[in-house]
Amino acid sequence: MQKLNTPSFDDFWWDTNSPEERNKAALEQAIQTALFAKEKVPFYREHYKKLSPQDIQNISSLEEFAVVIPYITKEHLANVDSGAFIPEIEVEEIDPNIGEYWVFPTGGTTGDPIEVYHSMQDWRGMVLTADRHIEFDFFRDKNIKELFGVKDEYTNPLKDARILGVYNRAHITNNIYATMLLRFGSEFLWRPHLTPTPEDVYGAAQKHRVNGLLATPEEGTGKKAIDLENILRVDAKNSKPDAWHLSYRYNPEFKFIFWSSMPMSEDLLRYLKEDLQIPYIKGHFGSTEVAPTAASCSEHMRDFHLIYGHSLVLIKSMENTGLAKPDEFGYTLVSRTGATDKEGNNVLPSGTYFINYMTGDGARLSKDELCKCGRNTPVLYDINRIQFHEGKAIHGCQIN
Amino acid sequence: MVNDLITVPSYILGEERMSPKHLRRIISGISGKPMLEVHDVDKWGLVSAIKTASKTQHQLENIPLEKIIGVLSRSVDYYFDDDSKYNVIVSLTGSPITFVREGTKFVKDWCKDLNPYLSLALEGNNVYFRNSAPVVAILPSNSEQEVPYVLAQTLLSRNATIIRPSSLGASSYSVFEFVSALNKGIDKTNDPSLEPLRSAISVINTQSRDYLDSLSIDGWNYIFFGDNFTVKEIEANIREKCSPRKIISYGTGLSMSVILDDSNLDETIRNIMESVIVNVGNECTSTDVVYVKNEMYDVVLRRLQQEAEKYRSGNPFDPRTIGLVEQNNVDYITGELLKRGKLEFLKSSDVELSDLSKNSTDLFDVQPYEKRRLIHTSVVPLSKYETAMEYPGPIVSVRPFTDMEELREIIEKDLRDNGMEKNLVTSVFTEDEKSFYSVLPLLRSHTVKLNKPTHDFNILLPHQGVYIVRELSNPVFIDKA
Repeated sequence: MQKLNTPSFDDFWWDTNSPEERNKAALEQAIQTALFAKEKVPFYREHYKKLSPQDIQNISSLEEFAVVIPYITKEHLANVDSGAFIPEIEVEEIDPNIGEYWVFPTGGTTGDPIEVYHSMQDWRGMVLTADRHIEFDFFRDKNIKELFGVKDEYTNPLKDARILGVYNRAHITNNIYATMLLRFGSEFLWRPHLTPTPEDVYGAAQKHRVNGLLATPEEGTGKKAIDLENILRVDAKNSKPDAWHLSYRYNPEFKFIFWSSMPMSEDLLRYLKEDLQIPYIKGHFGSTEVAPTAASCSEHMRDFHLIYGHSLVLIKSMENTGLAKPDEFGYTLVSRTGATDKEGNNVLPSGTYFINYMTGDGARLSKDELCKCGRNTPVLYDINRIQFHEGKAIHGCQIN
Repeated sequence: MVNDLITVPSYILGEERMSPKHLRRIISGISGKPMLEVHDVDKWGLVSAIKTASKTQHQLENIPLEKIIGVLSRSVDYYFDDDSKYNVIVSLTGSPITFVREGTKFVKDWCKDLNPYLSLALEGNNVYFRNSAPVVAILPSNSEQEVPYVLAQTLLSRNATIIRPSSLGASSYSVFEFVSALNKGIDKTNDPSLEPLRSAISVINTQSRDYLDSLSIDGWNYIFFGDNFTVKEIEANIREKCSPRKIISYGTGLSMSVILDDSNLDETIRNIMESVIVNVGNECTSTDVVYVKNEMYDVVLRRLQQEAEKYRSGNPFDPRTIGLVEQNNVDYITGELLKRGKLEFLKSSDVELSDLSKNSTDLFDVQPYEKRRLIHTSVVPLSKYETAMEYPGPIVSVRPFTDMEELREIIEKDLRDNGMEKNLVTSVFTEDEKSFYSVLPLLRSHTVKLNKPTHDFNILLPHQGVYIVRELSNPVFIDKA
């Protein structure tokens, strides 16, 4: 695929460089993606027919990108064959070691489920970017280093850790985490079977003596939901003398909670932090379409720093055609703007193209400022589903 | 004047637990003055309490009983160790100061030397009692004295306990006072093996309606207090959600007195009236109904009414009054008597709150000019066909019977109408012990007293037929060579 001349997605540059430089790189990727889409992706060829390549090339700011490039919605995706969102390219261009594409259906919380195609390059780009955020925590975040008893040197507490992912096996979160954690030397365990109860999941955690869980926080669909709430409730009442407590307070080997897909309530966070004393709690905001696009830090444990690199998140104003001001509530636009080839080069995506995709989430984005965690990326917060609301979920993923 | 609110945290993981602002409740005293800030738990607080209990349960089983007896004996010295603490209870509940002091002393004395009680409660040769499962205890509103009674026994059974005080403040205050005293007692022992006791009790203040859903756990023990209908409802609720190991439910007392025709009337009337007014009539051992032979009915009714005139409600800090009925209970009693056509027998009056505060301590600070309805000691005559009720105040019903068979019938009717199979205590007044034994088979009480008032509580006997510590323990029978 066409190469991009931007810093590698595993480079902390994206989290710490000046906002102007970062936005310039993000814009460059976005423009290249749109230009390529206009030329090679059937849907966008039609969708952008009023735009000339020059119009796209002349875009000089992210704000202008949001205005000039027409957004797409779930309606577009649902009413057009999913193949029309994939570029017309030769398979050889995307180093397909495991088939051509991995196909994930969306959950249906934002409308009819659609198929999303991720190539190996796309996958690598998403994993590198998301892993960078975790690595940053262990490298740079003093709070987290202190919790793991490390001062200056890099620590990788995830090495040899066993993490149990309790999402549905077909869900992208489990799949992407399996790859992400492998890079840290962790062992990723899949949930026991297709339709487990919270007791089954707890049983698996006992059997494998896991060091962490990956789960949605509180699904709110009752006692059978496979979420942190129900698993931790089972843990609370099963404390036999030989129990493997899902609590750092009682079991110093249990250190990690990874969460995604639903908001983390203040009350649950307090339980995890103060009662169970879990040292590393990491949330990712994302979707089946573009996977992780933002992640929590030790300072913003319920909100999310944008993860620049493979994706671009913009907040569109509800009042006008431009971008929302910092801290103003607006529509979330997500674009997939990068992937990584096997040599480690940044390249254009080769799976389903999402450009200025209005996910149906509303949110606010803080201004760029240095966070105590060490990043200077803006923070996405106050996330609410405002479109296609089906009363089932907030955020972009559904948990089965 | 007391300017600062008293903080009453929940207590989980062996630590005081302060709540975010939206989970804090301000509780006012009977004068309307804000007194307590109670910190409630959210649903994760409940989960944390469950985790604490199930984890601590296994640590408690190895602590020898003697050590727990020792630490309780020390701890109780710190429980209500200051006059101002009694004043808090009086100001919150309206219970008379003398009752609060004496009642607390009574239960502290029991806790100071638990061996006589345990020798009865855990009697049995070659039996070892081991712990069974965590306990969930739910306290009623007027539960200050039940606090050490219940918690000492759950500790002695070596079961971890989650206790939910009533939503009224005195209950939460007393529970926290007990936990603080226990921790001081543990500090004094300087014995590391007793450290798990710090987490043995979790206190969850909550007003959530569905807290019991979270706390319904297979194999756990439950202790409830409350009126009979509420207790049955809670029990059914628990059984629907889980299979508990044991449910100990304490209903209200419906305590009775039976006056036979050969009783010493002066002494009998005095004894009965003392029982009617004990803690403004809001104890399970307060006499609620008096059964009297037909021939004596008019005399007894008149004598009780005359005696009742002496006992009036008022400032609970004034030892000449019987205390103050809580406002909720005033409304309840008035409504029930109205419904039953007996309102004319209710003795009541209105006073300005400022009048009530005279001679009180500085904690009893009132809003001037605000009025308050007082309920005084009242005697309600009942016919054969009416039902005796248990009122949360100094109200006693009097009803005649012609012979023993009729006595049996009306007692059974009263129990049935109150949703009870047995009442807590019945006092029989007679000079002839043979008559006492002839009445005994007719009664359906857990305890029957002869010529003693119903409130003359014998703490060594099982309460409502139950030794809590025994019920919470699993006996292991030892067969020696």
